[in-house]
Amino acid sequence: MSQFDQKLDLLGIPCPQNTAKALIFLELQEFGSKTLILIDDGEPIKNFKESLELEIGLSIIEQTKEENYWQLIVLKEE
Amino acid sequence: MIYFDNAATTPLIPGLNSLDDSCFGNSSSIYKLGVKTSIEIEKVRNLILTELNSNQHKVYFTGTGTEANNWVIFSTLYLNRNNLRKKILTSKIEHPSILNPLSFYSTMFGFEIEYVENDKNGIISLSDLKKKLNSDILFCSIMHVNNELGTCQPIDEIQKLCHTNQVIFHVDACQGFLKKLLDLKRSNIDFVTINSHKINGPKGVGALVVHSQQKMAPFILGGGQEFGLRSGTLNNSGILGFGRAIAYWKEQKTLNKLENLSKYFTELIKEKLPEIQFNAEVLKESLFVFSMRIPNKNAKDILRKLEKKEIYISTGSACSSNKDTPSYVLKAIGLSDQECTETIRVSLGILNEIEEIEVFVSILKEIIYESI
Repeated sequence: MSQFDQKLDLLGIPCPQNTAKALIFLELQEFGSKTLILIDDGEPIKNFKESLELEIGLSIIEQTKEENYWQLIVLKEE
Repeated sequence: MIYFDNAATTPLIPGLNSLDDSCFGNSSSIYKLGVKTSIEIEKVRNLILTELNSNQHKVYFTGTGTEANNWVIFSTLYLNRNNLRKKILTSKIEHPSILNPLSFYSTMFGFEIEYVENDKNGIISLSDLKKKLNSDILFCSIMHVNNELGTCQPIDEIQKLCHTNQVIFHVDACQGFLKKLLDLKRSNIDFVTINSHKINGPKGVGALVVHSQQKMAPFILGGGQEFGLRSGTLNNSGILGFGRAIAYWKEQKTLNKLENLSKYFTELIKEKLPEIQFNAEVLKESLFVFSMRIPNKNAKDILRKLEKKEIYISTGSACSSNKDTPSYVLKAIGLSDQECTETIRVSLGILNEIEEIEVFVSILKEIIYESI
């Protein structure tokens, strides 16, 4: 994974609380910052990506699948 | 109307009865409306943890404080039913939502209950606690602020003693939340119960605050809400109202007001009605609940006469004031049956005003002297 500014571990947190926690966390971050998010495989990653598509200014710029979870880098833009 | 029964329940903060329903979406739904609700609920969880100064605990919403107390007792005793530690410690002045489930689940899972002694003010004896804490004790539950006496327990010291003996510690903080400091960073309590309606939030919302190292057994099975542990669609408007009430308490600096009201109340009672006796040395320990004895007067008669003037107080806790038996809490601090029947409870709230205290004291004086 490339460089990131902060990390958020959402492993084990059910939907849609994982998305809610991520959006609250990202709201507090600076514009231009990159957040590494760890999220479970399956429904969690699917739902999270779909929810993020509806958000303005947040985009996944990198994603890697590990054994049973995903590492995403989310960029917060103005 | 003058409402001085805030330890039983409180009126809603201004504006809360018109809480909008924009977050009606099911917080378990994955679409935007559900996520929006989930975000708002997460913010209330965060707010609670901020007020308790913890990043080591998780918040589980329940229907009431009573439910949270039942849950923690069921869960701890069930998960430890095969543990070699077979005793539970508590006090005789706990709320019935602790004493009754402790009795029920102890019998069910094979535990024995021991009681820590308290002094005449209702404060737990730390020396007795030290004596009773040993390798047989699994769990200890002690309330933060007593609902009948208003006295506040030395929670930090109790927590240290419990953890030194590897005893799981629970605090029922329903009366004390936001009114007396409970700092979970300083005092690493395993479980804390709080609720909304004691701080001018809506009824029907409580929470169990659980240390992240503690395991929980599910209490209500169903659709898997609250991390699979307490199923049932969340009470969105209630939870958001709880959050609004917490924010109001912080923004309005209500604690200073409550302290000033309490100080004024005790000074005025002592000046105008010196025959009234406080059952506990409230000035040092309490902030808003006053258990007071009016010698040779029946408390229920006083309550009814005040009611006719639209002044509402209590003769005990709301749960026990409609029972004819003397309060077990007052008995536990050494009062006789006669003294129990002479006891009224006045509990102030953040929406009370100085003028109401003056009217109350004046009318109480009239009632006491008219029957002489």
